Amino acid sequence: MSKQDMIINPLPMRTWNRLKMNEATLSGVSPEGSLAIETNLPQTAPDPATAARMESIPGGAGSAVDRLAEEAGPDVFFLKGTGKEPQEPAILTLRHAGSRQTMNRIFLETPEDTEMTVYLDLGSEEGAQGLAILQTKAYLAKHSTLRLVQIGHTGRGVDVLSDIGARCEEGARFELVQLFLGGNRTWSGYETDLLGDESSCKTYIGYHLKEEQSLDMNYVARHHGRRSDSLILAAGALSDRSRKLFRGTLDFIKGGKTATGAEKEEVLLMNDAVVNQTIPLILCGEEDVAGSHGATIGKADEEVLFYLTSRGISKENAYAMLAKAKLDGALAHVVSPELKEMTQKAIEEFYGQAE
Amino acid sequence: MKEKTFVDDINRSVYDIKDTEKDAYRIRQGLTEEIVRKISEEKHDPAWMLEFRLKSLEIYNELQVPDWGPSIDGLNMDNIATYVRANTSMKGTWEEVPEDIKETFERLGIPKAERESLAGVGAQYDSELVYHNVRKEVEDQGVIYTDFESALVGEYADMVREHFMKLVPPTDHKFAALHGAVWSGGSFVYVPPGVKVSIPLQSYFRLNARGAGQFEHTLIIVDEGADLHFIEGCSAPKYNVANLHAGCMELYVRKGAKLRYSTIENWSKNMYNLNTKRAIVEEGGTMEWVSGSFGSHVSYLYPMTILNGAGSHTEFTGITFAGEGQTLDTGLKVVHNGPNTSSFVNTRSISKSGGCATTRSSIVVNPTAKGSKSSVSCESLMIDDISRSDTIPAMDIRTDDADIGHEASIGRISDEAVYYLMSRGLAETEAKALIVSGFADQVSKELPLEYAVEMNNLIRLEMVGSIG
Repeated sequence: MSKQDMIINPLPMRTWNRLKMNEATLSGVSPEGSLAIETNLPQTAPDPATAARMESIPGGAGSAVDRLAEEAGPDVFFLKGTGKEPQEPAILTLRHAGSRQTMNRIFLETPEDTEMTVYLDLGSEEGAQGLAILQTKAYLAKHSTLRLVQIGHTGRGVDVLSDIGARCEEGARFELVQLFLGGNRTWSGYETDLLGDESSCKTYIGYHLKEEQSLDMNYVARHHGRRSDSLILAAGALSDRSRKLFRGTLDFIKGGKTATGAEKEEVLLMNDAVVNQTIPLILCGEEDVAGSHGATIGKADEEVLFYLTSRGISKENAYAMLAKAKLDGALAHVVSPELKEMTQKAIEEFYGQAE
Repeated sequence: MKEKTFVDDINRSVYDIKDTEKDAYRIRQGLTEEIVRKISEEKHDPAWMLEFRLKSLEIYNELQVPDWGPSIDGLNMDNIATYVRANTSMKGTWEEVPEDIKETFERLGIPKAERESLAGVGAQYDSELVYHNVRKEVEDQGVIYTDFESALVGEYADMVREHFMKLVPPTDHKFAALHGAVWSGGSFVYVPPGVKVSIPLQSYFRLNARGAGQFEHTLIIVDEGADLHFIEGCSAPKYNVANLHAGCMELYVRKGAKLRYSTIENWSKNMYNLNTKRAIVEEGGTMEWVSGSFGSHVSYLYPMTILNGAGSHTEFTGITFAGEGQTLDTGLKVVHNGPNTSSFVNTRSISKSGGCATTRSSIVVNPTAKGSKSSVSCESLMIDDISRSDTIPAMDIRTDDADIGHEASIGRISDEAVYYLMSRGLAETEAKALIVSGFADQVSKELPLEYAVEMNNLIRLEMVGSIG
């Protein structure tokens, strides 16, 4: 397919253009083929109705990614929950290799009263370059639960676009833990439509960006259902000349009475050359809701640094500990012991501490 | 019966007085080079100002309307008269002001406020000031408070030219360019070094003419170590056609100086309020904004502070009340350039009866602003389920040596609080009005008493009929 420029991660309500936060542009996109997915569970093909339903779920990266998928026709990996946990989590491993652009689509469905846990591991082989596009759509039927752990640890030559869209029916719960531990430029979109009453989504994001890495995020929780509940918690550290833009939106749609939503962001700034941009929106068309946002952005607390260095820890290691604590915060929300161990290992590898 | 009591407390008809435009000069509607030249001629502009106006018109024609804010499709410049002048010159005593205009300002309480609590007053009626006066003791301190046209050609002409639309250049946005092309009226204030003006100055802007625009320019320079409180009030009668306000305020706060700029904006609900306010603060200076936005059909209003000097500081305290037919997009911008600068922002918005309140902000901390701190708090209150309230705060931090905190919340009036007050004998309307007044208290307590009373009366007026 021909190369195209895409407008992605659109802010749900625009603001001053000179801030350059309204959207991101991804240039020269032309995926050819998909990455092979290694998995411990057999996949099935979605029937046409299921596929159509999945495709209709909006993702946070915007409709341009859906149009791209229509044109590029990537492989679709479909997983359907079968029962209540505890059961074996699904582990999906994708490895980017060579120098190319790829696109994968993953459809996840949790039927009524089922639970499913999925570990999505996107890495790369040494020296890999190019762009990996990963689109995940999830449909959560009534009273079902989906736990998704997504780890991105591609090499520095690989750009990543991750797009997640989820739709939750009555009483459904979507829990996402996302760690960004690699890549060059990363764009991450996420949108959950809390359609059903008492549906909920909880999102825990951890990142530590180094050198010239960038992370551009657009996270949206749309509250349609009554008593729906959302939490978006993003915590991370910026080193060297890295850049991060966090767009977070709580959208309370009229009719979603007594819905509650919260966004929290913590950013540790570790170098004078970093760029941190944050724009947390609360959009409200319903009176009877409670939404909140809180952000703390700054350098390491001098007292904490003094305490650590007075215990013989070098300043460099003390900073690394504080940055790692941001990732550990997200790690704490991985429920499965097996996946927690895998995630822990990925974090340790990131900090070069693996056995 | 209780509602009747509230209406009697403050009668909206005070703001809706319409004077006939007899003998007034009204330029024809639209925006063309010919019209701009005619305004310049009517105002006896110096040559450089005509050139500036024409250049601004060029820029206006090149720039697009914003693609990010509320719709201003109902505003057609072809239907707006950009210059309307009452048949009077500026007077120095109220007795000399034509009777009908004087009566309007008296009903608005301006002469009374001047007598009781102000150091000086400028009263603009449509495109020109009709009254300007400053107390002798303030004048004796060397404070200059004059209409802008006089300043443009008088003793301070060079100072005015040096600062005019330098902080808000016409290229800033389309309506700044419009302002540059057709501005008229406004005030020039200069407070000499070390002078503390103990009681406030006030400018009041009244737009009486139907289908007209008001484009006053306010330039305030508070020199080193000086201190000033400037109050701005505005109102207009309601018409069934669009009116436009695109004023511009440029505020210079020199080293160690302090300026408080308070606004109670109560434009009529057919007004497009596309106003630009900007301050630049030097070392150790303080800029305080107190802003109450109650009127207008559509507002774009974001006072901006540039903290250029080391240790400079700004505080913004604002409340927006969006009622039926109103889309009020308000907020603020702060740019931290100097080291150890600080900003403290506290905004509250209330929306009811289908009104839409959007709080939009931008905090930028540049690499030079090491050791800077910013704290932003936005709270929004929804009174019913047919209104909207949106919060869009942006932060752009480009140094690690900064401490930035932001919090926002949105919610409704607590049923428990209403129940409590009703159990003490208050009607539901009274209870909610009391709670909303309490919500707005952090703004009203920052205002001089008379203005706090007016603000609370406006809230009570807006709250009448909000139940059921």
